[in-house]
Amino acid sequence: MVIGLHDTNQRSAGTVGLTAGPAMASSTSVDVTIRGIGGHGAQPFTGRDPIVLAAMYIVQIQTIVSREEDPRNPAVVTVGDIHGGTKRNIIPDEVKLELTARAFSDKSRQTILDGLRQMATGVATSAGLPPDKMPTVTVLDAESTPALYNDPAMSARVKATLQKTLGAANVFDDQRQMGSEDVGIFGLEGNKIPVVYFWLGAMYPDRLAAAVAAGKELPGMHTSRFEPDPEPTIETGVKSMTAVAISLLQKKAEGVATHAGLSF
Amino acid sequence: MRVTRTVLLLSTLAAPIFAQDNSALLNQQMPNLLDTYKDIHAHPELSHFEERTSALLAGELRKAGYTVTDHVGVYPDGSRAFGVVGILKNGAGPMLLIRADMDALPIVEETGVPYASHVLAKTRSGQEVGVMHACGHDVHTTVLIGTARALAAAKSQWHGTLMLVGQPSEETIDGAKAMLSDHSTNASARPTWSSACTTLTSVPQAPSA
Repeated sequence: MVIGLHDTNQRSAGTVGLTAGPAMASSTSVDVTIRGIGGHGAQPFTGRDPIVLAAMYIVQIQTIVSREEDPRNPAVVTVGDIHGGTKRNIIPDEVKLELTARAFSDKSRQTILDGLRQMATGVATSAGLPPDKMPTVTVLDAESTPALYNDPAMSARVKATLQKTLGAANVFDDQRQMGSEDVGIFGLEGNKIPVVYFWLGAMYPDRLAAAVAAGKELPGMHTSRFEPDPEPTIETGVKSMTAVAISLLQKKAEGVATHAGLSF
Repeated sequence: MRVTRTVLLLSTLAAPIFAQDNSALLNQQMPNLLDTYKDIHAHPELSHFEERTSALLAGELRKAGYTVTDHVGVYPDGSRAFGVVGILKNGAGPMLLIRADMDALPIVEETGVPYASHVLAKTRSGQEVGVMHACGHDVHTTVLIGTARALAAAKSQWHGTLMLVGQPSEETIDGAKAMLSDHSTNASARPTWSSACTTLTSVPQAPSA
């Protein structure tokens, strides 16, 4: 069994949230290089402009989620970084794009990767580029991570322990997230070892209440003003983690469930 | 399936709650845990560079009575990771891994708290950046230390083996992989981690209910 927690700006200190089943999306990092034929910005007809091709590509790949993927499966394709060119009147030879793709199933992930490859080739072909100028689409395995799956049976046990420890009013069922985490890797391929990862509320209750009343959010994770309310957050974290660990670390003889994969 | 559900329900009812002596101990620990949190918060380290944080965690786990292996993990380029594994055996029973991540982010802190980070560091590409615990991994590491102490003090309430993991490089999502690949590449040098890992990986799949 594997457990872990992550703090959140969505909840007050003193509360926790849990998502049974698929909880966080897989993250796949992809590098795309769109190639063209450089030249003078005043004479685009003498080359093939990779900036225009990259623009077409970025718009076209928006249809992967809206037209290629089954809408019942949440998925995201984001181009977060684009680099091309050196000066306004020079057509460069290539444009580099850095993408992240999020999905919950291997099938969804594959649909996205297939779309990225086909559309890259399609854009280059439509521009009449020769075979040696085809785009490259590279998946960065070292910067990718599988989806996080919270074992449902173990989640039920963890939730019951959290409710007893913190009071039922302080334990929430949270929706799954498109964010990603590598804690699931400790559960090994195919979720061989059950994992439960839960959210630890970290915000000053009065500040969160004021923000919610104003229809706003408090500064989130990865921002310069993310500020946990340390004392109750840490206290709730230690209490929760300790109680959950004690409830999971019981001998089978004492009547604790040994449902599929729960103990090892 | 119905039978299994009943067993689960009974076990839930029988599960121990957070006992009163655990609460008293936690109250006593809180000032120290808050100091630890502020210390970690003020000294954030980027992914792949968690030297100080991992040493702090390893020291605290040792003090709490855990058998600790540090510098656990190997990245694909061969560089060593700052993973920490603390083991506490407490008789026969299940095994539980509790994981906390330790790395911070390249962000200049603007919270204005007295223990705010003023740390500057160079990224792997050589760019100078501010460093901040903007994802709360300082909270996670502190909670792991508090939990380690509480469970060491509450050994009469549980049975089995605890494996506490301080994971580096969550933000670059290569820390967990680095720790697990250490098992295969450097098993002889890291007996604690590798034997624990063998237990983790050798779990037979239970038949589906």
